[in-house]
Amino acid sequence: MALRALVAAHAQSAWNRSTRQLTRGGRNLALAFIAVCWGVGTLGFSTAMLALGWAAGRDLDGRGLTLAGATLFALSWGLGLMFGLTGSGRLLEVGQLKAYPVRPLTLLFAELAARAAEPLTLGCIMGLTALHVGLAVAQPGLIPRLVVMLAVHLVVLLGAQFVLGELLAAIARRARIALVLVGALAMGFSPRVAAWLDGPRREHGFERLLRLTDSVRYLPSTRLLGAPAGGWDALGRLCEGLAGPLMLLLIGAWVMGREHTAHAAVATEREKGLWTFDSPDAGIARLHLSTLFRTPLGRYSLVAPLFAMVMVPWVMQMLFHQQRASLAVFIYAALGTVQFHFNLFGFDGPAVAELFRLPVSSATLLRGKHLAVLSLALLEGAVLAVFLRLVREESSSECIAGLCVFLTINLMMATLGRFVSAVWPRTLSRSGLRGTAPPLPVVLVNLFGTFAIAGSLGLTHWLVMHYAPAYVVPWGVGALLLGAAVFALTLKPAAAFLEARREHVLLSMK
Amino acid sequence: MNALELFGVTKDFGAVRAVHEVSFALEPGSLIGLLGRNGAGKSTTLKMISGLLQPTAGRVEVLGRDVAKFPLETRRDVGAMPEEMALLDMLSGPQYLRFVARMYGLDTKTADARAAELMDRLELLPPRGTVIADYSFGMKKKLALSSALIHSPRLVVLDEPFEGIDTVTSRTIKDLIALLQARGVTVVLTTHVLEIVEALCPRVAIIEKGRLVGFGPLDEVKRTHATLEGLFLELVGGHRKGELSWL
Ligand SMILES: Nc1ncnc2c1ncn2[C@@H]1O[C@H](COP(=O)(O)OP(=O)(O)OP(=O)(O)O)[C@@H](O)[C@H]1O
Ligand SMILES: [Mg+2]
Repeated sequence: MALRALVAAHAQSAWNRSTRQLTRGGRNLALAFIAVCWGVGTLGFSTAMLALGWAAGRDLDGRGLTLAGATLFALSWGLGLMFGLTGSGRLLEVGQLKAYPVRPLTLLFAELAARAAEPLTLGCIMGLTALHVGLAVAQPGLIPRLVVMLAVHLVVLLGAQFVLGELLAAIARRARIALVLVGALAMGFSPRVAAWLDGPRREHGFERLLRLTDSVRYLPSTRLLGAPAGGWDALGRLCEGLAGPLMLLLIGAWVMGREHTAHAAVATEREKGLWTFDSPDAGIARLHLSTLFRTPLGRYSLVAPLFAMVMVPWVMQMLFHQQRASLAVFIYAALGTVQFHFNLFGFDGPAVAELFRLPVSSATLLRGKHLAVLSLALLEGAVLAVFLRLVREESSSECIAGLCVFLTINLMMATLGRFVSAVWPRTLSRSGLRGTAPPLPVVLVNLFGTFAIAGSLGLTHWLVMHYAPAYVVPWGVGALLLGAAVFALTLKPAAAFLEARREHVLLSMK
Repeated sequence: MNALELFGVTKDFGAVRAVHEVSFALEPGSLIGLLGRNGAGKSTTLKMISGLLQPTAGRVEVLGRDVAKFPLETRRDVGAMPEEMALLDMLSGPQYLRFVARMYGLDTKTADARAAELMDRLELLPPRGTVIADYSFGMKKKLALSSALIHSPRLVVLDEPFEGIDTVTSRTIKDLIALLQARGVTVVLTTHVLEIVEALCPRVAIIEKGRLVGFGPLDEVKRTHATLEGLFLELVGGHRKGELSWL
């Protein structure tokens, strides 16, 4: 059967890719450690969900329904959309499958199955399943309904990330439309508009919370779970609950079908003139920048933080009634830009051999790559700062401090990333958004690194704002200088590290 | 001083031994054809010569310098055309050649002049603005060859330069290689077309399962065997297989 063959081929190549790297050194040990971490994390999460499901199931007529409905919705739609927003594009190499007679729906299901095997998603699936099991244990009578609900939620979790990812990719491919969209959203979500909408209702935090819990009643998950045992109402709610996943499947199949029959777009880039550069590192940087601007993935990385800067303040305002959001915006946006630090040679792919055969030292290579990624970050940070100052009317000092934090995070991530790039290099697709999911170790390094760096910056920022708000700018500049010092001091050891691993990088890029 | 010398070079990929204690030396101005069956270890040997791969054991010396100890200097003297031809394919051909030339330290004017001359000589005529990703196979091959020659290297390693190349360009490349040799440049090339080696290379090396099984002037081969093919088949022990069971 085609579906089995597709999933098997994907699994085999993913497995082979990761074990190719395993042969050398004691990396088995590292992977075992990571697997244990993942296992413990997932186990903890699943147990918590099981308990939550059981507790909520015991009180389905009261607050339990709200709790279960909200959690189910958050774990399916919420996480699905979040992964779609932040995550990788298509996993399956659809372009390569064009020659074979496979149906779009088969492709879609293969893609969803491949997604389900991603470590983070798999953890979420286990948590989601545990939640349903917990509910079933508390309410054995609801088991048939819970089986349907589990299927619905799994499809939503997987389908939503695929569809949203594709949508964002399509928007990102048309950079001009994306910018107009961001502009319109920015205006729509500016504090004045929000204040006008919020206008007469001046509620306290508690009232807001009540209104929020009240609205949980209308979520499809809650309505399905709380449906009566029979009758037209039950049927109506079932249809309602199935509408979401069905819609996702339809859109997904349509996207796959389009992709499957599409002809490869010929890249007839206009000759942008022969560019010039003076030093080898500038040449490497110029090359890297031009690649970033020409690949969908690179463009997407530029647009995604812009979306974030619109979304984050809006979420902060809706949830916490918090007007000032600059630090959150900067930290979130920094997370969006860091992925390229962690795979400096990803876009070169096999062509990294071209760079390695040139008479340039590893230090030059690193400097050039950093120059490109960091100048992009600087540009993005500056746009963010201007936006926050002019549209969101945040204070200048907060904007400057935020920009410093943004750059510090980027510098620290670059420092970390040049080692990661030499240990876990992988080819990034230059023609689509496919196969960008980093290996688990990189995800973990990214996650922990980010938490450590962003956490410590956030904490000290809070302290400064609390005790000496006048010093927020010097604080930001200080953090930036510290970051820059660490960045500069580790360049030499990083270059030596890369020099010793050139062959590893080259052989990993196939 | 030898232009190129291999001292018991061995390369392992995990459990696979791709190259097994290969040693030979070439004086400046040599032109040698490296022959062998698919998977014999030709490309791996060339990659070790150009410094892309590190030998597991043994060492490579280019112009008297250990490649592992002097990577930058060696890369400056070597022009390499790898078999994969994974070029920087988001650039157009002229952009690419200028980039490579500038990285070798040529100034922009010289770089552009040489690029134009190479593209003209090899009849590489891409539509303006096309990125390398959209080049035909042969066009990529010509571009890779150009980038291997643009910095006037003293040792040139070409992995299958004639594969996928039209007859006219093939003749141009042969002329180019002869010219390089006349100018004292050392050339190592691999190919599966024995006629080209017979016509072009004064010397051949035959590699089988990672080992050097034959090395010497073509004249000597001619003395014992009627054709190079005869010697090749004898050394690598190829014999005919049966038909396909379902055809
Ligand atoms: N990156 C690699 N990882 C593992 N094994 C490899 C790698 N590269 C080459 N090999 C193995 O080394 C051996 C020699 O390969 P090589 O590419 O040098 O052959 P070749 O003589 O160039 O063949 P061809 O004529 O087909 O180009 C083969 O058995 C191949 O499988
Ligand atoms: Mg080969």
